[in-house]
Amino acid sequence: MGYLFISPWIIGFIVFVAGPLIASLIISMTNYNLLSSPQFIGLQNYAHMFGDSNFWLSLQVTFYYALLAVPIDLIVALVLAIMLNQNVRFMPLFRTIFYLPALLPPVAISMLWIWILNPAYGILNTFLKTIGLPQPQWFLTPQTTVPGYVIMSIWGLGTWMVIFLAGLQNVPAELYEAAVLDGSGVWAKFWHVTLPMISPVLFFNLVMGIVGAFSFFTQAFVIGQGTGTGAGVSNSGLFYSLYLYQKAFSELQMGYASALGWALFLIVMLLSLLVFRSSALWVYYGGESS
Amino acid sequence: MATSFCFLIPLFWLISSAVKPSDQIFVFPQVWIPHPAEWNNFAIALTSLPFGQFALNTLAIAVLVTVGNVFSSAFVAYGFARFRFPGRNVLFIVMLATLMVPGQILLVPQFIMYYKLGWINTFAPLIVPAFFGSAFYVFLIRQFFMNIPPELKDAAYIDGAGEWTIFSRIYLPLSKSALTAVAIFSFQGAWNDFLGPLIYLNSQKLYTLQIGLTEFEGIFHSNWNYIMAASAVIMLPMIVIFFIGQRYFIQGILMSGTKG
Amino acid sequence: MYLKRGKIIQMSKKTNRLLSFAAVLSSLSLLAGCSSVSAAAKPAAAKNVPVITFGSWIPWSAHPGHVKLLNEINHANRGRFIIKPVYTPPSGYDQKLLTELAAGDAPDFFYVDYGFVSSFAANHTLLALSPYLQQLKKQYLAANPQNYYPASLAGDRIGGKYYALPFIDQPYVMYYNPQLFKAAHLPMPTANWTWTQFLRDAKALTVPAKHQFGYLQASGWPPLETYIWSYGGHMFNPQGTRAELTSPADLKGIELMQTMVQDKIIPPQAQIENLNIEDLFRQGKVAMFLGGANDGNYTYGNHRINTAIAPIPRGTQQVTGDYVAEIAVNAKAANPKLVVQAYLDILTAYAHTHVAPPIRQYAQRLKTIYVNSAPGGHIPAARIPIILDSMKFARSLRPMQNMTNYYNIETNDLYDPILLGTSSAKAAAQKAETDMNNYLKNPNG
Repeated sequence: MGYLFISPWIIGFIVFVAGPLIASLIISMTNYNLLSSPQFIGLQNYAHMFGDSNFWLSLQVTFYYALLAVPIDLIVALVLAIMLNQNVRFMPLFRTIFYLPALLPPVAISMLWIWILNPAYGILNTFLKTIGLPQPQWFLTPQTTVPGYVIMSIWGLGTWMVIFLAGLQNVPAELYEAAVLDGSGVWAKFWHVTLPMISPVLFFNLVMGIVGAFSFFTQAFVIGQGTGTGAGVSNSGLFYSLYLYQKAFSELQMGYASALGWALFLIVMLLSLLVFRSSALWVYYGGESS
Repeated sequence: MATSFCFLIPLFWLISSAVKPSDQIFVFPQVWIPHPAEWNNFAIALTSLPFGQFALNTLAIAVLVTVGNVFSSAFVAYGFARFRFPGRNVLFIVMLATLMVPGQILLVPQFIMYYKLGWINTFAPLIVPAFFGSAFYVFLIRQFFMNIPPELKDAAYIDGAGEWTIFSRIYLPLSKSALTAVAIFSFQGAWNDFLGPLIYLNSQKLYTLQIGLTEFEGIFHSNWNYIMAASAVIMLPMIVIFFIGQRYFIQGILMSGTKG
Repeated sequence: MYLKRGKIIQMSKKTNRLLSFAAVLSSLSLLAGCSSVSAAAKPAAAKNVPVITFGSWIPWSAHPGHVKLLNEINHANRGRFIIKPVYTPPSGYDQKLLTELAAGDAPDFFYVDYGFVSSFAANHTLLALSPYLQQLKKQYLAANPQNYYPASLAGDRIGGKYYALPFIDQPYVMYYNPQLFKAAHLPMPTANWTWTQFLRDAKALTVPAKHQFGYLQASGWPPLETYIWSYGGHMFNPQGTRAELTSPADLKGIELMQTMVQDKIIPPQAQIENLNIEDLFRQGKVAMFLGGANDGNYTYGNHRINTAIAPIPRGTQQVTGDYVAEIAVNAKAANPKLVVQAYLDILTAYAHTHVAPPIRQYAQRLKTIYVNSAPGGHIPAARIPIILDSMKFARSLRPMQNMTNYYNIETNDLYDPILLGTSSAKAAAQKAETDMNNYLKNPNG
């Protein structure tokens, strides 16, 4: 009976996930451009990947983004959550302000931020100028393109913040009281009580953050459209998903794109595994001794 | 607090830019409050492309996707929550694992599948998958279902009710808040979706608002006042939904995030 | 000819696409006033009259001129066929077209961007036109390739057969602002002027205090090839098997662009990001602008502006580039003979309305073409000889397999580093040459 109820999901899983996943493996071993029938070429696509400088570039861009955006977003989100957790007046209002941008359409957000980050007429550079800081050219120069995306992502960290907030509110008050009795200061309280208690939430956010960085597409596509290559100056905005999209839909290289997809799968699995393994060291589930 | 003010600045700038006359866009220092404020810009921006059609398309897709997600996910969640069967836990974990699979991996094979079915340039690829249960929503609703006291089910069982009756007459009505959360998330996801419409919709008459906006920018690529105006209007429904259903968003996250 | 910053592909395409729109803004104000604008030509009651679909990147409902043209053709051919326009947005046009061809629901004949004809033909998606053209040569000037300017056909002949024909051929000419020249006490450009004179003029016309610049160069526009060719460079060897970007002639062209940066006669890239560069010329902030002959630049916003054109300055020779776009026929079109006729009707109609027609006989009649924004509705007489001359010495880009990669290499290795000041012309040319050679060996890599 139970099977009956979950059958839609099982069917869906086979048709939309497992099936395509396996089919993708097979397609990745062909040359296929939709217009003529697929030609089997074995592992050539994978061999080609190793020599493809754009492949490595796209990995670099994506990792660079992940390494900047994930920690920064998580830390800022946590800090904001802690601040909001202090029983401030109007907390719901502030929570709204921080959470709202995360729900807005990414396409519209990209347009807004292209304009905000415009090197000559954008308000961010005006602000930097007023406080005497140098003004990077953001999406105009290769080195500052990914940082531009990272800044955009900070505006959208509302979801992480709300999740952290929920986690913080689940921390039993007694633990804090006990710590105070022990004479712990603010930092000690944070390190020994807050952090361990929210570590499952942190763990969840970290994994989802990594997956998110590798699926980052819409903003990269929309913002990349404004540049000659479609992926930023000197391909500095060539995120992995964007590269995959280009290969699949701009060039109709379905076989190679499938190979790229599988490479992505393996990379993300590997990273997730690493995080999962390391979680034993630092994630604390209620019931264990810290 | 100062930080929240900073967070609001981009939105303020959005509206400020949207009503700027064209000759006040590329000036330095920037104009924050344009004189005169051209509220007409909204009308000009929205009538230069068939945004009305785009809105209808987006609405249609979003509604169907939401209906599909809500019912199929509740259905599947019931299965996971109320029955014990071999492999249940394994399947549940597999389902959760799919959340960690980046969609890009399935992009090409799914596209080819739809291509063979002749569904390219239709709404079908965007809507059909929603009727098969979506991992995140199933998880959310299952959590909720697990909190419904089993006595209710047992009582109904004794009264001779079948599973379907229990599901639809007892569980569903009791889970209104969870279902609403799913509905709101789902609607928001469909409204904001870009990649799906991008690869599956080729004719302009099928475009959604998000695709329409990128096309708009392609044509008006330097008229930032119009681009901001169009962007603002496209964001508006999400803002409205957020204010109305705020607590459902938060609740939805509460029910799921903390169990990560 | 406007260009989204850096978008070379879109540059070459967008030029005329956006031009065909004639600044959608002015079309909008036209729409407001023009109450008799009909929506895109709708097929009349189809009594088994074959409907032929015509795909383009023009939103027909915003272009009363095009709609009128189509209605006239349909009227003249009533009972035989009806042409129905289909619109695909310009960005990603060729990719969408490819997907539609693969799915089997592409229009019967359609616009193709320059350089993409060969890849479409290679996929067997285009109808070989030559046999049909042979039959219709007597009826249509447009059916005889001999009537075309040779440069405009560069991308269309594959394996001895024609797979597409151009519907427009815009040579690039130098627009300039006579008032700014007068204010700087400079003589107006002559037909024989050189890049040296140009640079000197541009320097005199650059007045930082007034935020005024002599010229404008963005990533992708004006095309580097134009500068290279004018010094006798060819980018590739005649067989097209090897890149020659570091040859002395090629290098001179690339260095010309570098000189523009070093002499500061062009606005910094940061200032032209996200805006319409040709607008800067129209606003009088830039004194000279290399644009397509169809740009006109007769008006800005709603008022008339005073601009003039000169042919492109000489290097060691006089050569300019051109913007060409083609129309091709779907290999799977039902009733190809009829479709080709409709196709030729469109080409002929365009030759009477577009600047400039790639067909010589029609080009001679340039002064009769109606141009909406021009003073008096026609191209000023002074411009006509310049445009016609420029068409004679215009050259088209060498069509390559996978043009997208070709443009990307140019953007990444030449335009961006030189314009952003991160590389010297020589170093950039060397890197570009290496990458181009790799690209030639493996165009799809």
